[in-house]
Amino acid sequence: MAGRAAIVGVGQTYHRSKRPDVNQIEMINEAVRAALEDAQLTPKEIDCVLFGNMEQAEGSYLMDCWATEGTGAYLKEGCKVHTGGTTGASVAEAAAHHAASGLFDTVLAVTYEKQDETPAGMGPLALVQDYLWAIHTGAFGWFARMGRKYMLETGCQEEHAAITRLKSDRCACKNPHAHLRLNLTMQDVLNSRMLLYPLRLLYMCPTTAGACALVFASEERAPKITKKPVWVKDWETVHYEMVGYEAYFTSRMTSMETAANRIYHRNGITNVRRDIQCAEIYEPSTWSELQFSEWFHFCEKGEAWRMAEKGVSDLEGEFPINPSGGVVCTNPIGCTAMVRVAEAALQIRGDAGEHQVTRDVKRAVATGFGGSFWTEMLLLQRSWD
Amino acid sequence: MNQRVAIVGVAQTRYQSSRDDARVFELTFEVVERLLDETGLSIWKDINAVVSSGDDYVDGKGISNDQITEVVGAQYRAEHKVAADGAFAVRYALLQVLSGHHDAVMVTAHCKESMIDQNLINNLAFDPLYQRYLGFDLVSAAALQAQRYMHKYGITPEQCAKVVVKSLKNAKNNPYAQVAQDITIEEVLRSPLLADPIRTLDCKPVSDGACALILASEQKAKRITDKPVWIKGIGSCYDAFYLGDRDLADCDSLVVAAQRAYKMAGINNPRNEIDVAEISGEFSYQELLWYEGLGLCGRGEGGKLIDQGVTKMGGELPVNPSGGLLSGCPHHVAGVARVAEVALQMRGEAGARQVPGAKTGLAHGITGPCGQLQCVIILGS
Amino acid sequence: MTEKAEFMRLPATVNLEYKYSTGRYLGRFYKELRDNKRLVANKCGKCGRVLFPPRIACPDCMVRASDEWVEVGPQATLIFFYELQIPGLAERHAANYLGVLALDGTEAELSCFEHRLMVDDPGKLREGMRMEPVFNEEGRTGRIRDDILGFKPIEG
Ligand SMILES: [Zn+2]
Repeated sequence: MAGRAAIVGVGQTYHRSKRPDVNQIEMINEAVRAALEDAQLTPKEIDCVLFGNMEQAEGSYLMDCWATEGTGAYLKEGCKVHTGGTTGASVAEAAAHHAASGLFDTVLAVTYEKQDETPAGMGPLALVQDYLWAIHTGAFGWFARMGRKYMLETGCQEEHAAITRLKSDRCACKNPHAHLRLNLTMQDVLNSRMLLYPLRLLYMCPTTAGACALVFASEERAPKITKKPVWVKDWETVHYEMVGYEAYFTSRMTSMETAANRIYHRNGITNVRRDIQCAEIYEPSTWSELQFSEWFHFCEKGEAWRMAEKGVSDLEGEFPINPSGGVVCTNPIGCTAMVRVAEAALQIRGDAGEHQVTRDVKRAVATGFGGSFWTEMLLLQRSWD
Repeated sequence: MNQRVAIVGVAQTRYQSSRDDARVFELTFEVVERLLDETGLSIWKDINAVVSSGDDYVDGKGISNDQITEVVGAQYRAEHKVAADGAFAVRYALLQVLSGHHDAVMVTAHCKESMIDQNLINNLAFDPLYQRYLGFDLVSAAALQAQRYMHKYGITPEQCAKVVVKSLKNAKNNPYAQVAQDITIEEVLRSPLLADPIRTLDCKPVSDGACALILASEQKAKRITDKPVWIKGIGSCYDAFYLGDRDLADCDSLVVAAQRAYKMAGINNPRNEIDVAEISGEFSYQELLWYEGLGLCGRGEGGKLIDQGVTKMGGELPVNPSGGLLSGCPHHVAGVARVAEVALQMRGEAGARQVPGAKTGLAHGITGPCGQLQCVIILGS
Repeated sequence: MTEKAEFMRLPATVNLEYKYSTGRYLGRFYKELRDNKRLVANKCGKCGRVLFPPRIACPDCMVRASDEWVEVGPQATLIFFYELQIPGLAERHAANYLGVLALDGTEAELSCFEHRLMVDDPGKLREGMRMEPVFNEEGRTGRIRDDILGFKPIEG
């Protein structure tokens, strides 16, 4: 029988493009303190610390070792987990396994990225390519192609991407932790610089400095720590072979569909928008929010842009997607997927503040995206059953 | 532990100074292919998930585990990378079974240290604001630790050299070992000095290789093999990061990790109750220091323990019958290989390096400068 | 503490030089391209998938690749293309246009790759058009990104 784990503490920094006022350790510590305060726990009460970031992003090897200064892992159990963009979700999954194993009462999961420490052109994505193989230009071409293909296949117009981007901005403006809070107008979005048609600068995620920490607890301990534990009901990781990004335009099943199918099947979810009340997904671009929403079965194929147009995915909508503002507003890479989990947990607790969605969220999904087109999906619930 | 978890199969490559014939993930495939072949398991039907051990800096590639997805059967399935020594990958795989989410998890580790001067990478493990500029790497940090340890407890260079002599002699019985030879204490003490008191032969050599194993729940394990090797206890622990914040002669994090593992396994007197140990000494002095941390002897008595021959083959508690890291075993692979070697001992399948009648064994892994992060795993037949 | 804090930054360069082994599978591709200007792939003995780039195992079957090798290309289909408008990218890749290409004999969805496009009139570029490689005639190493200077439209 599977063990149970719950999230009992959530903490994050204010995400910004630059944090010259703190070093990496101090920034990590901000999130750790916030999570411990939220859980009303002292560092002594933590049994294990799991850590993650985008390994090469800040130019440090064995970053978890230095980070002990900020995470408080001294004389505690733990290790570092790394899976690229999905790292934040991987660390959360690892923490859930730990808390459900029966060996630990409390587990602290910490991720961060301080992208203002990385010189231009040294970014981690430049290092992802297979050195022995072909040219690799990174994500821009791929997301542009995704947008172009999506428009061609579904009848979506660019204004629908803009509507979606404006929704993200409205959400972010209500979320004090979000990085880009711009009060955009339709004109601002449509005038933003075109990177590769139809991908505009505002449709891409920013480079962000920030950290996030979550406290997980065992089934027995969680209710003693908080009246509002958020149960990690299920999770799924789907990897795919190493290839250039362009090969993902395939008739094959995507990792998003695979993960969603498995999670929904195991948990008796037959009507996604009824059975789940909110989603925090890792959308590296606005075009991916539309495309991924369909792959996650938040709507029928070809309907995501209509869903955006009708306001279904708004804070007040029937199925809010990324009420935090999402990844196009905040992207501390190795930490980004954990922010999704954190924000989904806050929605379930009803503690999201100004960006709390209208609908009562009993159940939510959080996802991570990264690696060679990989997906991790976590299902969070207010009560276990 | 709420349920019993067993190791049901292991596979290693031979460790070599350079494997120019293979890309790094091809080493992984070599061991996975052999592991599946020997256990008769189906990657798709029998294995639920994979935990790997590796690192982007070591592999020379961002998101380095995306190379191994296709050689570990992770197409459309779960693989997670522990970016620490392989012992921590074993630890995470164990937790994936204990959590009840999986009933069989494969652990893999690969590494080609020959790809790059390891000291360049190791320097990046030190903080960029102060220590990195001092030129620290794992060797120079280890030299500080060795100096402090030898000074505080009167450990002699001869005693450290005995570890090298024992390791390379034991390695002669290990077909996977990279370096195996009879050498003398004098030869060790005459080898070139790297950072006082550490000499070339005091260090693990540059090594390439891979190792894999499969963990299964009790129910599944009994269906797979009639010789399951049970994980009886496990513990890990971080020490302080800044070398100046620790007394390097007293490995506090290993003491705590070992106590956690012993408590879980119900071990009260490790020296009496453990029959064989495979421990991760990257440098000769570390084996002596880790003896102490593991409670195999008192503080400062590591030198005496090797002098008395307690840890040699045929001694009361043989340590590193395989030859250990000093006979060649790369980072990341080291911890998985320690577990694999102990598992072979528990199965009575360790060949010429078998410790007769071994029933309880200890495997140990380290990550970080001067063993900052420690992991201890107790296995039993 | 009334004094205004001064935030300093320390510059540092991380310089790492690796030696990557091609191994026996990609190694054969390198040798064929370097010595014979031929592009080769290996195959899965179980499902028949053409493995390009050549590799040790089929991801779908998790079995060691067969000993069967096939020549692929050199002609290719242009699947997608774009202009490198982002500052720095054109210089880095020594091209103004990049294309996603699928060599004849490979499965486009699984084996397409990015490469430089050599075109006189970019207005004529269209998805689905046929292209051919321009090989580097001197000092080939086997590395596809250097040994093929770019792909150009097939005339006529
Ligand atoms: Zn196949």
